[in-house]
Amino acid sequence: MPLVPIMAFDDPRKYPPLLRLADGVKRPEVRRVMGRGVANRLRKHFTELDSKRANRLGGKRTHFYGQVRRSVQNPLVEAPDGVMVSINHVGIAQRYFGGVIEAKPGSKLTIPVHPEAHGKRAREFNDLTPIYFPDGDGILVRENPASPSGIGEVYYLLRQRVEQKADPSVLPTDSELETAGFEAGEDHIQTLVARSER
Amino acid sequence: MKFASPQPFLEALNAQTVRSLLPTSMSSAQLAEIPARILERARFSAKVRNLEHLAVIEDVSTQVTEGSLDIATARLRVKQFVASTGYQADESIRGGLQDFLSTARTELQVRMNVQLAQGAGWHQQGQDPDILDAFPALEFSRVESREEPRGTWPKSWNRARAETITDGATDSSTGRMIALKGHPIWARLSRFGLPYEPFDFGSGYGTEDVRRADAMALGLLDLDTVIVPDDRGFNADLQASPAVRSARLREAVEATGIGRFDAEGVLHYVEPEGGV
Repeated sequence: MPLVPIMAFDDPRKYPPLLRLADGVKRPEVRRVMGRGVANRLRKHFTELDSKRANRLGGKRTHFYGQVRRSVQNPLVEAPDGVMVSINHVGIAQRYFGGVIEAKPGSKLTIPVHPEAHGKRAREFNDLTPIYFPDGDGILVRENPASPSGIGEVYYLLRQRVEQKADPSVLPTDSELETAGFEAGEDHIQTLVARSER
Repeated sequence: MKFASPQPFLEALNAQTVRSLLPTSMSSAQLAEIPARILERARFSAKVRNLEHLAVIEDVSTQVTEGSLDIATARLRVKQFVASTGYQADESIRGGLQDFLSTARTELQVRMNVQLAQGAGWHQQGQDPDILDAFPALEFSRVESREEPRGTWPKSWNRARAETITDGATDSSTGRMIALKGHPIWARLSRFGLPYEPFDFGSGYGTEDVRRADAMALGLLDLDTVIVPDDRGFNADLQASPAVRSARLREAVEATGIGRFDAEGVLHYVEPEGGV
């Protein structure tokens, strides 16, 4: 699911001087610039995550966070003092909030555990064999006599449900986003003031 | 932090919607001869003559752009469609980019379609005069890591700069590749002739906004320089029906002399000498 953070610039004590004097936060054109600053900070954050968080399995990278960066939209202004940024990526909300994912009735979740399975759907392979355990879970195995077991390698775990931990660090902190918004707004007011003073 | 309901990425979805399906026997090298402004309106995939195949690619790409589908599932759906047609690649090309069923091919099709739509959408959303005023330039830099970086972008940048206008763009030897928004270097730098991401197949480079104060410090503009918004015309195009858009696209392609449509609506390459 997409993720849509709303930043409210609602504490005047935090406003930088020009933004406070010009009552800039209330002005939609300034807030659009502040929102752009927030979106730019989000994109930068996702670039950093892309370089730091390669997949744990070591398979071909899908660049999850690179995808997330490209799905950041330019923010919309939210009355009276906020901006709203839609991040239209299917997996980002699950990473942020975590939670339980349940398989549909009659099917199983396929959890990749092999480097070659990373970023692929199990149905993209046509040579995996399911093995079920008494508790209902199972594995998908690819035959490989050269494997350590002499039988095959496990590509996916088959599960009825998984629970993922929330990871708020997939977004910058509130303070980082707020600072990005304030800096963009303050810079913009400074430009407008410099023009008017000539 | 509070959260709201998702907003559709309208500008990106519009960039998808204005593209008419273009079945073709042409290779990607031949398609690259078609001017960017026309290709921006076409959804094609080299050597794909089947309209339904293109429609499946369009459908899954739109869903990925909306944020309702992941790339692996999108790729699987394209593969399932191709398999349902009975297609089997020749042994010599199996698994490669020419194989319609390969992971390499389907991955590239989906990723490129989605990235071009997202690039167009972000570009279009940034054409607000106040945003252009506050962030009048872009920096070209690494936005996705690569195990083996090509290392050729600084050279390509300087070539594109020399071929267009040197004013308003830094020399890459300064250590930064920054140019004003709307500068012709962006389209020249792109393999696809477009002023937004992606700039090449599989490239880890992209653009990020540069603040006005930084752009002024680099001597790219002064306090009063105005960046004129670039309207790609997607909204205007959407006023026309899909049939009208498609007919316009076909006319525009044929007018270039590069290709001709057959009775089934498949585009074929026309040799420069004149033979089809």
